[in-house]
Amino acid sequence: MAAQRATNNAAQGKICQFKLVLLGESAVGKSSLVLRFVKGQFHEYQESTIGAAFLTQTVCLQDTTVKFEIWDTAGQERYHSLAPMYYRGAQAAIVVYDITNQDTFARAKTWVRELQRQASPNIVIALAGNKADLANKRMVDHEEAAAYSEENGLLFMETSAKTAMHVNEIFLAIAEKLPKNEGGTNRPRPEVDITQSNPPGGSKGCCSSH
Amino acid sequence: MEEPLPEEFDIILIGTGLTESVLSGAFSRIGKSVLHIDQNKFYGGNWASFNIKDFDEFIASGGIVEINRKEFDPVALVTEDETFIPVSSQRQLIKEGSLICNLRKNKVTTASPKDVEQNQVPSPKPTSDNDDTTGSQEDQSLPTKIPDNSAPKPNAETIETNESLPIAEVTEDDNKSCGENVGDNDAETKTEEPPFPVAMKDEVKQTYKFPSFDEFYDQWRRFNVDLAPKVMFSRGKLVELLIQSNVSRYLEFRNVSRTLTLLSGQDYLQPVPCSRADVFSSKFVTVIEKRILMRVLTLCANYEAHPEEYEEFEDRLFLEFLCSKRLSEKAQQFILHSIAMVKETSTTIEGLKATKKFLQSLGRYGNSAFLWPMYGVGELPQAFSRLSAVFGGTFCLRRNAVGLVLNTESGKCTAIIDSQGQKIKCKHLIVDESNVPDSYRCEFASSVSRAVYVTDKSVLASDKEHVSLITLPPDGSRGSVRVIEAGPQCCVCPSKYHLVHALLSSAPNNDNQVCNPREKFKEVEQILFAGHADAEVPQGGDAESTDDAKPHILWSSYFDMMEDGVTRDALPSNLYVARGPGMELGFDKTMGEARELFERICPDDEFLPRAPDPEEIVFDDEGYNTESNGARVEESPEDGAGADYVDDAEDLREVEDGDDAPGQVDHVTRIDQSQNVFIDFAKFKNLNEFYKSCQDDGFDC
Repeated sequence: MAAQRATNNAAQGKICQFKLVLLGESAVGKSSLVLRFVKGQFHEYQESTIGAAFLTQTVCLQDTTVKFEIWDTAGQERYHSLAPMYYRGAQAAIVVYDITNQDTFARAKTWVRELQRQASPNIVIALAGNKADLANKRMVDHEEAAAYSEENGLLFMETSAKTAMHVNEIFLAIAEKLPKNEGGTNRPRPEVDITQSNPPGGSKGCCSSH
Repeated sequence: MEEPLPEEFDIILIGTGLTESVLSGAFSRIGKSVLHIDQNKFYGGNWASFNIKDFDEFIASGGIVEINRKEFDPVALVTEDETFIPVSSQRQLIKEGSLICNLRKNKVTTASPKDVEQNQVPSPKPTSDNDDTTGSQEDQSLPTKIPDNSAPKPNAETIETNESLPIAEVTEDDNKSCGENVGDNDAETKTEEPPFPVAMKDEVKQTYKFPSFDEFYDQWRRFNVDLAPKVMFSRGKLVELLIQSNVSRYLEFRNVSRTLTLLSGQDYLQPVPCSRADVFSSKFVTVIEKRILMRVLTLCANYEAHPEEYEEFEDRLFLEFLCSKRLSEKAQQFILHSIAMVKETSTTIEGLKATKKFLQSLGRYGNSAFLWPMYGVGELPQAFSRLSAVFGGTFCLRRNAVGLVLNTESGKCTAIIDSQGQKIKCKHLIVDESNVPDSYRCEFASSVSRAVYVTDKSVLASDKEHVSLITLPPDGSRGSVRVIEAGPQCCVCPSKYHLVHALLSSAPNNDNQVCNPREKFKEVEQILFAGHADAEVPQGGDAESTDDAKPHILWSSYFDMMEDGVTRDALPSNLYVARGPGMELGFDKTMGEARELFERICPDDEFLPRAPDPEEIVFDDEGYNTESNGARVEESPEDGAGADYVDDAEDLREVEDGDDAPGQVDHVTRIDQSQNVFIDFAKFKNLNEFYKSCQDDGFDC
């Protein structure tokens, strides 16, 4: 594999893997955004997040492939009980609000503050005003959110998981903004993957087939 | 204010310690409705890991939580055929807590503009100025008061990158700095700053500059200080459960790469040769010792197959058994204290079992028997809680039960009344020790004495960073002390620091009672560190002394963690009390308890079956690229226009490794595969075969 890797390296760019977390009030469409991005699907009556809170998706840039490891809140945000493990080592976050609900925008700002306080200092944060297809019920001004994002150094887009508007774009924008050197992080790496034990017999034999 | 909780659940758990979290995940996983609450604002209860600020706060409060409780009369919520049993929330789980920071406040922080003016130039070296210059201790740089955003960034980076800081050599006399206890008396002292006066001498050699108080606390977020530091046996129940349930994907691990010990009569630490590779490369054992040590370890790894080797010792001490194998005293100590980790009074069978357990774990992941969870043990309950949430569990922190509701007739617990005045029904209730109604309590059974140190370097210098497990065998009146040291690679402290945990079991009926945990660790500090605040400095020129190389204590904390005082027999049949972390080195007891409780409640269901891997999708990069230049991929994967579905990670890897894969593969670090493994022994039918293999390897047996 080592040889193969070398050839590939010579020919093309590298793959960087990033942890991306989603934040925002319940029912603003966090999971829907991910499902749209990862699976291209949308379900009008999506149940509260169950079962699939850990998805991956790869985005190709000019010279780099960015692999997102996407964490959904699994509903732990409902009673303000997200575990710090959730933000741990996250290199990117999408904070989602619902453009038809002013409260969710206020909560989004709280999440941004929380991230600035708790997450890695160089985290890339994007603000997503979701449900943009419901523009006739709009309660949050585009300009207001844009100005807030500008002030706080956030990427900002209004999105619609339903129509797919700006869904890929927002992930792509994040991918482009993430630092790509050495996996994009100075975070210490895990030493052990516990699902991969030393092959019995240990030192002998080449077991690097994966 | 907050959304009310649903009114009925199959299972309610109170407390987010490891046992409760594992159970929470297990019940949600099989489709039970689960409510999981915790009075704290953090996950983990007595298993939690804290950053330094939260840790200070925790110690100062004694672990007592002020719950934001609504005013209401719980008894009014109870019907005629029900009884209300109150739960007291003012349970003090930490006793004798204290904090000492040995660092001076001599560096500007961003916290206060006033400070900046006063202290424009950071003092380039520790001066002999005494503590009064640092008198403004109540200002904003107090750890619990650091304004949230202003603190860390710029400073933290300066510290991280500034590799060329001069290194100070501090003379032994410097240890005579004094610290005071905070939180020793009661929670009121909480607002006082941990004192840190250090009387640095003028003649300090200018090779190292200790970080200042502010530099230290500026990095508060980078610490993860465990209340219950433990290591995971690589083949222990926890590791198996993490793999089996797929919860491991939320966690990251490092090897506990070193086992150190202190041999009697010596005052420096040395590595314990555990694996075959260690034994053969050890400088501390002679060739003959190596051979005997290998023979005994090999025997222990597969002792059941050789009853003739230990039968006559079955009812005798393990130590006697070891003696009979002509092991040198040193080798006996290695095995007894650092490999088997049993008492001198343990029987041969106990010792053999423990040794085998260690050797079985050895080598599964590198040259080590243990793993350490990155970010600390507190990650474990969070990971299982997440599993529970992913499968529908409801989580609510900062809420507890003010009492339980028992059905008068059945005696069963039918509901809890939470701190918001809500009555929530349940079929089963699982609580941690701090949430047991007073009527089921008895005196605390025992406690674990703890010390935590932040130091400037490792207890034993090495060219790479280690996680070290250190056992200090009992000596005189001092019991056996367990020490775990981890560094920045484990994300438990910022770079340039090391975090050291020390644990000592405090049996309740210990005659020579030293009550204060700080006192108990004095001797340990002399062994491990270059003195302490008020530790006596050993007299001069012991030839063996390696004090110069020993780490300095920059910050320390001491406390006792109280243990189990529940009369379990008296509990209602559907109320279960999960035990705390205790003194166990690993997690087998805890995992055993979790499984047992699960099986009592759901005897016919599987305990934590594998959680399915979500589908992994790899976009075909060409397709995606062409589309994404216009920054849009509109079509759904079903159209086949740009996505490959890949069923599992295995296939994903193949795709990535394949010819059309775009280069370097995943960054998941694989385990080091070039290790010698002790577990090898299991595959040798007899010792001769083993020796032959050693000879093949070039070792002379």
